[in-house]
Amino acid sequence: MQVAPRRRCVFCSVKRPCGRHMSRLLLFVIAVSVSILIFSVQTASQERPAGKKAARMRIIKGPALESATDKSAIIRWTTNTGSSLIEHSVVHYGTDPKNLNRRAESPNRWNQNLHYMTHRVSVMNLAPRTTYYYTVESVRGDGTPLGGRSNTISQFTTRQQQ
Amino acid sequence: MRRTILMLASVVCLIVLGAVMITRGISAQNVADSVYFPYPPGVIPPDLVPEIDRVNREVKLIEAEALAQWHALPINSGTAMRQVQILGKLELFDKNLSVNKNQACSFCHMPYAGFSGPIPSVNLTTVAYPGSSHFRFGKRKPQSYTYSPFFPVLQYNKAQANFYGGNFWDARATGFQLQSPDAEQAQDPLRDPLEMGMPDSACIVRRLSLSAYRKLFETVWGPQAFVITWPADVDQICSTPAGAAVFGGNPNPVSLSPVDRGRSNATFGQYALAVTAYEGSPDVSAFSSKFDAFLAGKKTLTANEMAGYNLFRGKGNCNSCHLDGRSTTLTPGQTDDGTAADVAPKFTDTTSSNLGLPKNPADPFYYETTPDSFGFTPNPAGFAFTDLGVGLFLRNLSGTTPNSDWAPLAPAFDGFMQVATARNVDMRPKCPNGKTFPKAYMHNGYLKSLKEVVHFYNTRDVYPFDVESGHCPAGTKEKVNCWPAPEVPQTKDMTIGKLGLTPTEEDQIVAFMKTLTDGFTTPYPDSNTFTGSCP
Repeated sequence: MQVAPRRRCVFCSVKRPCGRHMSRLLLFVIAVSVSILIFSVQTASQERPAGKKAARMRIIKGPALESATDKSAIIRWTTNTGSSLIEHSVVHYGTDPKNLNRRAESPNRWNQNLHYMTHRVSVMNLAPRTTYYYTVESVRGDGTPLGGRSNTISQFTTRQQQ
Repeated sequence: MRRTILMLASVVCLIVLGAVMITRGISAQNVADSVYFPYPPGVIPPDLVPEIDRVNREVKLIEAEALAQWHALPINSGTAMRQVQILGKLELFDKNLSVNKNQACSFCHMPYAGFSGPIPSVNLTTVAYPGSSHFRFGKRKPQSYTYSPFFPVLQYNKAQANFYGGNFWDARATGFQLQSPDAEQAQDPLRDPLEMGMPDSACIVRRLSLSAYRKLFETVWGPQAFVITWPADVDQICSTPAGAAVFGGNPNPVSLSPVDRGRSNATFGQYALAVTAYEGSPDVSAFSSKFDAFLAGKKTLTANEMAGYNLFRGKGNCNSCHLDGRSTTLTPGQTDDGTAADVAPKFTDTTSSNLGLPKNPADPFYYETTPDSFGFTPNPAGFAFTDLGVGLFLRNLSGTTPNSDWAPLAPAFDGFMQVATARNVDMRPKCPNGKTFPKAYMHNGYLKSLKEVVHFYNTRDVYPFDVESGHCPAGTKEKVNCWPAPEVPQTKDMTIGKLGLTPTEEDQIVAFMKTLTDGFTTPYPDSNTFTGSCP
């Protein structure tokens, strides 16, 4: 890194430019800035009061099949945050990927101590050995959308009848 | 002549003999009819009757203690708070407030069990307790009194789309009238046909007016409390169990003038407010646990307890509902300085949820399908009965909803039961034989230990089986690697079910919950009154 010549080095008081020391100073400033930035992001997510507007919810893991039987399945995904203390996680599903006309939802609680939220939905009354396609989102208990909607259509297959 | 006299004497003797036999037969029949026992062998624990007697003896001792506390108390404005608390205690330990004068409220809520069920064999089997009218049984586990006064008046929070507050598993004690759900809760078991069985709220007022502590009641609430003109048949009515066919469904069979009815209602409300004064006092809700000492910076938790605490508010997700008063979880490198956002956390958010518990077939309620000798049938539906909890209440099927706007919400709250405080979940007496006093957990008492509770939360969805309790497949063990199907599956909360906790982590959460037992910093009143033994 090029540093403009200076008359006096501020670190060692030598009366000539001091490029080596200036480089260290700049690296130190960059490191401190990045640290403060990271710390402030962490602090903000930890100390967000319940009533304050949460960060925009987005999926960071999943959705994926957690488990399945011949007539039920559990879909699981993780978002970067929750939006409401009590959310209803929703799976829109169907046997035709172009027509996800069925809906399952389950209440999930947002533990604000965690820097993420796990969503799990129990999907019931399914047919055995059938492939279902689905998307997910999160809503309040009254149906108000909270975000965290998946952009792609996923799929799972139920087990053979037991 | 002599023969005629002998014949007449023989006839008289036969008539007298017949009359005696018939009378004795009816008498025997009455005894048999008065005891309601529709249960098959094995449902009711064999030691039930002696255990009822044992608890009643303990209740009597605590009642005597409360009477002594009252008599020792100087009556002045400086003791006004203590007066109302002692009044509440006297009411709760007064068996005369039940229809047959044989059961106090505290019969199901003894101090040494965290003000919950005091009979080991009942906790292990029926979970529900027998009422004053033997042997009608209720359908749910007796909830603890501790910290119940801290629940707010039931409100539907539109932003969270959930109910907050209320008392009872199904939140049916809303607090709408007395502005105290706990006080309204205290009014309910007295009139419940399956519990203390009073046929009319006026009967409680009548019995209070005859009590040994009437003077204290009048000191606290005023001399007008019992200025009521009672009808001649009041004591006869008040000795007939609620639900009896003779009442024809009339909820107020004691005939009172409108003014006297109003006064009786007011006095009944004051009775309830005294109960909640006691339950909210340090005698019951003491904030004296090891965890409270930890919050005050006076005690440190052991490494195991601390690990459990961090799991409780982190990986275990417990404080999603059982709020611990903290705002953040420790991250690596941080140390806990004991600072709390709430120095008196209640370990409940006062909401309700459906944990997906299976039906508990050991509940005697399922067998109460036939009428008792009073023509009352506790549960006509038998095993078809589904406990919808809050949904039941919102449909006016348990209590009366004071807000008809809530009715459409019922399906979304089917199976919901109130989030009980995690405080005092491990409060239990020391057994003389060194064994552990058994408790039951959850609304239907399906779970019998804290380890089972945590294991259920952790693995409900890891070991699900589409069977009823008692029918887990061969090679599995119920409550270990087999969880029967939920009683109400459609609204099951999915926050729990697969937490990924190791067996050690489960134990650590249990270790932490044991720090929530009151009596650590100061002795817990009346916790040493257990005189029974443990199986």
